[in-house]
Amino acid sequence: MVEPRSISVSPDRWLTDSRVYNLIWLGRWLERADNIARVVNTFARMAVENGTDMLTLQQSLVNAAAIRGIQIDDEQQSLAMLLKNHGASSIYHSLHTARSNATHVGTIELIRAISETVMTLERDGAMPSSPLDALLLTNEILERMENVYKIIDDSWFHQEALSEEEVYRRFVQQ
Amino acid sequence: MLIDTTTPMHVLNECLAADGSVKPVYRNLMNSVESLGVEELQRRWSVAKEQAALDAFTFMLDPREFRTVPTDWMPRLIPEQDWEVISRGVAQRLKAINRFLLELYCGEQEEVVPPDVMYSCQYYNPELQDFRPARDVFVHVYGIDLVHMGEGRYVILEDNLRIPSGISYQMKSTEIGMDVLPEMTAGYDIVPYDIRAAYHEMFASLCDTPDPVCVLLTDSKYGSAFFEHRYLSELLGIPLVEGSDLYVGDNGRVWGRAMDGDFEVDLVYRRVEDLELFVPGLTEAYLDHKVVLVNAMGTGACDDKLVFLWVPDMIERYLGENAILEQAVSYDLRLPANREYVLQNLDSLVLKTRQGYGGLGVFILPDLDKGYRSRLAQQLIEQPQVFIAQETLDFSRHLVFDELNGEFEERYIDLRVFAVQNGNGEVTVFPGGLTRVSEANSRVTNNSSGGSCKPSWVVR
Amino acid sequence: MQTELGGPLTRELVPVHYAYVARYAYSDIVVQNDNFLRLSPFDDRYQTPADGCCDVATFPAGRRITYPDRLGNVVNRVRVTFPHQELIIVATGLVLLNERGPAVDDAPLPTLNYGLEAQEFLTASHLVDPESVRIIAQEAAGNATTLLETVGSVVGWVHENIRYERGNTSVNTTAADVLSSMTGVCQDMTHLGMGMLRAQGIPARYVSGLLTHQPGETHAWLEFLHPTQGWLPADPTRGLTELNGTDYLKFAVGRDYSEVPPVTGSFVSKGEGWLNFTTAAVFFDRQTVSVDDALALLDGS
Repeated sequence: MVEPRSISVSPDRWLTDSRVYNLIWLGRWLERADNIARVVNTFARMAVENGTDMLTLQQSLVNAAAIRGIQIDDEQQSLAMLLKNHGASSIYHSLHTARSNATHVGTIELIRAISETVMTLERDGAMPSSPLDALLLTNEILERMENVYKIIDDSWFHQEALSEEEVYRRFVQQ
Repeated sequence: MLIDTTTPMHVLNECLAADGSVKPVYRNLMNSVESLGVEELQRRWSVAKEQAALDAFTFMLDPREFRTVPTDWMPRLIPEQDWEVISRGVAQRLKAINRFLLELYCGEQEEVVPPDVMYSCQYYNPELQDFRPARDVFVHVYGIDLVHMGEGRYVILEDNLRIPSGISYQMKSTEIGMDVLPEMTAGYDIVPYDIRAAYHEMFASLCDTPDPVCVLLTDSKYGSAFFEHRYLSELLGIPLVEGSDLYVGDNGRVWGRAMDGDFEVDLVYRRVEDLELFVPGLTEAYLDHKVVLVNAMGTGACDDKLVFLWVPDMIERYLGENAILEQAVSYDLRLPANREYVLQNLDSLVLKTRQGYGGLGVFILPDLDKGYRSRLAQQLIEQPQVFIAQETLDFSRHLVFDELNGEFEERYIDLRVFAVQNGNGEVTVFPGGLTRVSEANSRVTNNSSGGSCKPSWVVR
Repeated sequence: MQTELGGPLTRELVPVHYAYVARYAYSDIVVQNDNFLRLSPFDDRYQTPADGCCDVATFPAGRRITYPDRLGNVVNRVRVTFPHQELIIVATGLVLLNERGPAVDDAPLPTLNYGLEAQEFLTASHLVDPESVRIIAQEAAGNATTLLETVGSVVGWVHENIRYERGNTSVNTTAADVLSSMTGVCQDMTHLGMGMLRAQGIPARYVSGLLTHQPGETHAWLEFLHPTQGWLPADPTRGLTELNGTDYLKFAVGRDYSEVPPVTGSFVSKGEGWLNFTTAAVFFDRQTVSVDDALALLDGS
């Protein structure tokens, strides 16, 4: 049997322009999703701790969003908007777009991990009806996003996250 | 009983015989299905669907809408003796079409196909005259649509020679299906569907350089077939590039743009149609033999539904053989007698536009209402040159699981078989293919037209 | 085919040079321009293209294939893949025209019987549906009992009743549209005349070409099928049924305009629109005609 001739097998050998482009936007959209998730999470936790109601949480989210340049007209929709319904500045939309970037540059593990996060918002009855629901949901989202970052660190770029003690440092000797 | 075998079902059912008994090849599969039971099947179906969503196994008609490929996870089984005939027939047809294309563009025009048919074809490329592609291969990747008429008799509906798609759907649906429903494989020796080596051999044999640099050119992540592009790039181990990643350099060769230094490209596995729109100058580089294109330019001339009529003549002329596989009986509407016949038998025919694809421009007249039919008849009288007509075939159906109602129903299916030809003229026909399932009450089986797909296994 | 038989002819041939030029200007760069040109003289008993003298060219140049279509028109398909924002199409050549048309025998209407080949010129085509003009066709034909009487009445009716007017109609105007607006240009009048003849059971087809004494733009007239003498011309725009052979230079025939525009095709561009300008010239006194002669027609346009 003749040994089959080979081709250069190296899908990641070059950092092509379209890969770079998708990498940059992947990072941006993941960061936006993360950022909004943290905002909602923080306010939801405060609401749970202070025992405030849903309406108060919604009002405070309108202000928190405004600081980030996100305008929300209907006060009672602010949580739903930030979680899912806002065209560009919802967690859902950001993750959705990040996944699209990942289909170009990511590994299947990365795509899966983002998909898992997206699905938390697609479940029936995903929309929280109390501050506690909002807290639990955003906890879950943030947890799943941790997994996304872990994949980027561990299996994609083979960059094991180093602890501070493991970093080489230059010492001055006398 | 999950499947009602007491009342006779459709005569042409892949799984069941006319008397309702399970066909021998499907016995193990049916037993597995029965022993799983409805509720378990529904559960597995939703697990498989979730798996498809997780992996972004998508066919997105609208890039804003994340839409997974609708799949029926119960496999279609093809007995090995049936496959043996299909495989020989597909290889024969591929070779004949390749010879014809060579003749058409760079030989003495032998006029197998009448010139007014050939040259009026949208996909005929005048700029390819006198051009010989690398190793004389025009048809590298071939997709052929077949339907099963029963008893191992398969009939060709159309050829796909430009950028045939769907090979990844066969592989991914099999992968998920085997993972989520391992019971389905019990009792079967499945012929493996492995394309990597044949593709590598094809790419390598077309290039002069050792270890050639090959890239897969995609239209972008917003294109409907992007899943397939990504999947193949990963499977074949070649970079996925967009048009803007490539340019033609001062030396006339194709280059890839990269942050860490541009690189020369030997072969572009292109999955886009209009090359010039994506990479200006690519056509010229190709005509100068500075780059290999897979598929070659100009193959679309044989995608034309009218040119299809002359493929049996090509087989006879160039190979001196009779066609192994039949093709659907078709009518050339340039001929007055054919127009007359077609107008008188409209309610039993299929009309197709010459240059339609993806199930678009296919009109199955017996399935249409009267008003629609008479509008088409009027169009046929006014512009017969736009159409061809084919006899309607009563081809096979398959059991398809309706996960919502927990029932099996019958749907029409076809089979798209994929084959590749390498630079040494060797043809590999991949065992099985993509079975496409029609929507309820339709005979059009196509992803672009909303149908779903099914893994297909050749079993020993 | 029975259709090109023809009767006795005088063989006094008049050499005529022609030059046609069309310029297409695009709003953005065009990367691919694929056109079918029907700009070569038709070969029939009224005219003979001089061997090797007729040609087409484009600027920028493209790759070309020449073939006859099913009705015998010479088609030049030219595909330009060089980026451009302007495309010029030129056709030049020499054709020998017959000085007089043939003398024609008439045929009584009830005896008309055409074969299967002629059916497509009796039924509806894209722009000419005989059903839509049937009533007016009967009215116009009046008491005509023969083929030539019917043709004469129909052509006369169109000439008298349709007002020649530019700008009201387009390449998509149907015979029925012409009947409702009662205006149009040569193409529209020809379509209406064809529809009326078809409605009366006489096969009719569209001819595109040049009027040699009034070049400048392309002209259209029709041909009807005579049971023994083949296709004979008539010109509804000018109200003529006996055409002087040297007045007409024929490029192509079809079931209606949509089948045989002088230039038809597609282009690929990011832009949207285009503007085109077309002109033509005919020379009775020249020894040659060149591409430059054709291009010169653009000067001052």
